[in-house]
Order: sequence, then structure tokens, then C-alpha cells
Amino acid sequence: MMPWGEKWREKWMRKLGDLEALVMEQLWSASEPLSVRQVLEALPDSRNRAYTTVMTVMDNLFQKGFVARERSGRAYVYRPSQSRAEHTAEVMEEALSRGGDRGAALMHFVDQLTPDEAAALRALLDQREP
Amino acid sequence: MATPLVLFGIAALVGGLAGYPLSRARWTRQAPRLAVALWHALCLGVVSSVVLGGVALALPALPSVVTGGLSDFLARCAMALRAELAAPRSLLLGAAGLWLALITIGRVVVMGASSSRKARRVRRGQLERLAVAGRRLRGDHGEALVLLMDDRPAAYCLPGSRGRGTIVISSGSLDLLADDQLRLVLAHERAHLRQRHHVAARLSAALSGAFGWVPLFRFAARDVPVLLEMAADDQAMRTTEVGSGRGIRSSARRRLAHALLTLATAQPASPAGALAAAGGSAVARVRRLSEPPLPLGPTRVSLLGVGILVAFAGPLLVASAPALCAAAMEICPFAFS
Repeated sequence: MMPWGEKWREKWMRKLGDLEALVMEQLWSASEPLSVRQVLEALPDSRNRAYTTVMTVMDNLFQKGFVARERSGRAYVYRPSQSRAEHTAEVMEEALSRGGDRGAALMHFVDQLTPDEAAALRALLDQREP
Repeated sequence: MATPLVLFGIAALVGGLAGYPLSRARWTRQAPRLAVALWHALCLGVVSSVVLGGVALALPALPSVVTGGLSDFLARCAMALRAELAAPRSLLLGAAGLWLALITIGRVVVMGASSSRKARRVRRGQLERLAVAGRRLRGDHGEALVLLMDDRPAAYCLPGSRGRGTIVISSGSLDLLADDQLRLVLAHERAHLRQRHHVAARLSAALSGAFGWVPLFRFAARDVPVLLEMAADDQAMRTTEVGSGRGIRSSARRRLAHALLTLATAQPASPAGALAAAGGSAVARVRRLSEPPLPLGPTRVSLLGVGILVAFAGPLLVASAPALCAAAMEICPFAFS
């Protein structure tokens, strides 16, 4: 692919990612399942958004398992399958459990210390305090 | 016959012994990036010794079809080469050599591919959830920075291609760190991404995964990640705006050391395995930061450079010595043309 194509694609993916976050916000704050049209109308700046774009985004979210959907009349209605806190907890737990991951899927700033080690190191730092 | 023997000898010596002094050397923490380069040069030198040794065994046993089609000049050249290699024309030995070369390369490639596939899967899963659950912040330096609303402290990066990636930080970390410490933490993660530390870590992990019984590979897989953390610490202190002058640099060391301790002790207990695997790195880093920096002198740096070059290119030189000798003979048309 041409370099500009790559760049454009990246920008587009980022836009879609942002839209995913916005759509999830709407679904999380709603008290009942929402249709694509309802989400579109609730989105900020909704007049400039295409119905099909929002539909694609919500379909992506369904494919990822982030939302559940059911038929209501002729259209689907969507509700989040996990709360934001549950998503966050899942990301965090995976990250924290990969402390000693040698495959370097993710690199932590620091790993854990035992209280004893930490106390010894604190003492070392205080002792060298100018 | 001498060439394969020499190469296998090099592999056995370096693979068996070189890890012991290097893992104990004290200079490695003064120049962590050079040390990583030396580890990798030694490891790759061992691999290439074995592979080239296998090829050298196989070369004389190759059927004459390979050499038969060559021109008269080249055939003469090949004869000179064969005379130099002077191996018995044992098909069995040749096949064994070829098998050894292929299996060595194959295992390393398979190991590396499977670990990077796994890493890609983890990264993808993380990024998908982060896109909806995290809040994207504007990073100062162009990389993606995501804030997770979670009281548990965490700061990590998800390496991407072309030196880009995503830095993730939890609100718990923000609560614990002062602004200057936060800048150092982010610069540390940025250094991981920019210097592509995940590639270095994966390389040593793949080698020890493929041939864990080689002491050198085991030592490298244990030491390289720690050295990479130290390299990122250095880069963080170098790039973070803390003013200028010696006193300020030393205070950056202290601020970073305290940030390390704060985050390392505030983390909730996790399985003992993870702790055991990683505990050493934080201790070594804080110890190192508590001491004044001691850069290596130019003499030792150049010596190390030579050592890295020899470790890396030595096996290739040994392997090509017969060919070089043959090329130096006058019968070879392409020797000096």
C-alpha cells in the first residue's frame, strides 16, 4: 500500500476507535437497550454522522463481544455486555498478571517488591540523602 | 574438516562458559545498552557457529550436480575450496550437518514467531478494550497515552511496530506520583518503545526457549530484561526536562528511584511466580540509582565495541576462511577483479 494510504487508514481506524468509545458511552449511560438510530441521535454532533458509519461501529462492537443485541421490530437494539469498570478490571488484571512476561507483550515500569526488599532500599536511599 | 570442528568448538566454549563471567560483571550496569549488545552478539555468535559448522560439514558432501554445472574457472575454484575443507565425502556426515543447521535455525524461528504471535494477540485484546474503557490523553511526544480509571497503580507500554506503541497508566499511579516523577515514568516507557526493547527481550527469550540447556542463553534471558530496564531509566533521565547541571541530574536519579519504590510497593499482591520472576530488576535498579553515575571510559567502550564485533562476526570469518584462502589463490577469476 502507498504510504499515504497507510497513514489515511491509520487515521480512519483511530476515528472509528474514538467513535467506538463514544457509542459505548451512550450505551453505558442508557437505562435500556438502544437502536442504532437512538445512539446516532444521542451522539454529539449527530447531524454530521452517517447512519451507516455508526451501524458499522456497533456491528464491530458486537463482533468483539462488547455489546449484546436482540431484534426489536425490524432493527437490532444493543446493550453493553460489560460495564466500563469490568473492562478496566480485565485490562488491569491481565497487565498485572504479566509481570514477568518474557515474551515482552507488554513492558511494565516496575515489578513488585517484597516489603522487606522495599524497606532495605528505602533505608539505602535515605542513607545516601545529601 | 578443521572448519566445522573449530566452529563447534567456539559454540561449545562460548555457549557453555561465556555467560558466567558476563552475568557477574559489574560494568554491565554502567553501560546497559552495550551489555545487551554484547549478550546478543555472543548468543547470535553461538547460533551462527552451529549453523555454519553444519553447513561446512554438508558442503563437501553435496552432490557434484551442484558444482558440475559451473564454468571451468568456478569448478577449479570449487576444487581449491574442497581441498581446503578437506572433509571426508561422507554423505551421512553431510546430512547430519545440514540437519543440524536447519533444526537450529528452525527452532529459533518457530520460538520467536510463536512468542510474537502471542504478544500480538495480547496487545490486540488490550487495545480493543482500552479503546472503549480507557481515556485517551494527548501525549507530549506523539505516542498514544491511555488513562485507565483504576485505583491499583500500573504503568506499562504495549509495543507496536515501527517504534510506536501505547503507554497505559492507571489513575492509581497518578495519585501516587508527583508531576516530575510521572514525567520520568512516561519517559521510561517511551524509551522502551523508541529503542524497541521488546525486540531485544523477545530475541533472548526465544533463544532460551529454544535451547534452554545452553547456559549462555539462560543467563542472557535472565539478564537482558533487567539491563533493558536500566537502559530505559538512563534514557528517561537523559530526556526528561529537569533543568541542567550535575545536582539536578542526581536529583532526577533520586526522584526516579523513589517513583520505582512507590509503585513497586503499592501494587497489590499477585501470584508468587510473577514476583519471583521480576523481583530482582527493581532491587537492582534502585541500588543503581542510589549510586552516582559512572560512565565507562572511552578505552573500555572501544574494547567492548571490538568484543561485540568479534563475537558477532568471528564465526562467519572462521567459516569463510577456506573460501577466502581459495579466493586469494590466483586461479580464482573473481578474487581481485
